[in-house]
Amino acid sequence: MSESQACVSDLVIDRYLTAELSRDAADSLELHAASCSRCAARLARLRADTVSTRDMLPPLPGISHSRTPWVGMIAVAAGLLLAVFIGRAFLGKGDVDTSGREQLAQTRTKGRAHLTLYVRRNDRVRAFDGETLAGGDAIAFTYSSSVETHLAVFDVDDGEVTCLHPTLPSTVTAEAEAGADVEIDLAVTLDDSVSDESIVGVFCEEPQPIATLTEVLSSGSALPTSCSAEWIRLPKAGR
Amino acid sequence: MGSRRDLEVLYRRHGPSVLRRARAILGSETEAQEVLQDLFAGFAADPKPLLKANSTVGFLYQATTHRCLNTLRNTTNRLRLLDARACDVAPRRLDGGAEQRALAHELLLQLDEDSARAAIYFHVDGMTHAEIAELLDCSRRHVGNLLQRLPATAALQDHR
Repeated sequence: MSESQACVSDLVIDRYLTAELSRDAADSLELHAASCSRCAARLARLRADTVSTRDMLPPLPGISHSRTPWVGMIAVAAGLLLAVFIGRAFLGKGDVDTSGREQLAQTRTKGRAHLTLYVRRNDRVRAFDGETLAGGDAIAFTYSSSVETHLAVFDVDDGEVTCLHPTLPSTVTAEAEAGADVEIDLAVTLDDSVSDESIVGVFCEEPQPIATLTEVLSSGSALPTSCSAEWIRLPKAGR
Repeated sequence: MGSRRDLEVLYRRHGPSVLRRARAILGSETEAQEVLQDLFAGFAADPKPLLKANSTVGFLYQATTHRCLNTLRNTTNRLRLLDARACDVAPRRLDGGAEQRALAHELLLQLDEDSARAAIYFHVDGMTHAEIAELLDCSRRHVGNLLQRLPATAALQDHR
């Protein structure tokens, strides 16, 4: 940060945008912005960000809402090629490169059962955020659910659906106790193929046959009423 | 003030800046969303701290920064989760932005709480010493001392 004393911080701009500044302070900011292109640009950027984000905010936590539209939006992004190792087992293949962040489109409601993916690259770990992944990236999974649930994790690759968790010999969804960021016994390492694919977490109130869920995800038909699905797209690029 | 409706109004008014700052600090849209949701879930359960604040914006800056630093610490702990797996990870370069951000996160995690907050307020939010002193509830001299002790690195300075 190397602004002059006269330049204003984001704190002041946020106070201005939320009408928390005194009239004098607001006048002072406006006067400064009129003669400082840098502050004028920041003010415009923060104002635009505030306006555009406000309409896209997820529901206030604690309010019950029906399934959000993004689930369907992301669902149509499935069908991309993937190649991963699961434990020691090779699953896929690939081609095509698609990138881009879903950002607010991937908004989830707190309290709704969901997966979280963690990516390790060069021994640094961060939560997966829709960014483009590459061969060698390792992915670990956790889930969060406010109630006991039954979970299965699938890979969807160009319409081909493979259950990643639970592994055989399990033939039904795995019991998953309530908790936040609970580790799933599953890790994958991406290979070098350039492709996209989707991970789908299915949470059910009761045990469900993996074969049934696989068929549902393959055909695009409706899940059992006690189940909900979270689609997470993994854009992938070569090294 | 204090009803669910009032909280909804505050959420719509201030949520965008909470999200923007969390995104800037964490570099992750998903984690930023979690921070926003966690914060307001807490306020839904106990709105008093938010409603009693002299400055809602200032209070949310403090709360967001605190939550983000906790998230960074928790994310670091995920290394153990991944290390427990038999993942064959090949070395690969990060892009410049991600590399800088990762370095900035590492530096933040090495700092004490006040220094980490001061670093974020200074480098991410562009605050003056006086503004930082207000949020840290300390003197400007102390802020100067905190910032002077920060590692001289481009990673934090480019974090904004």
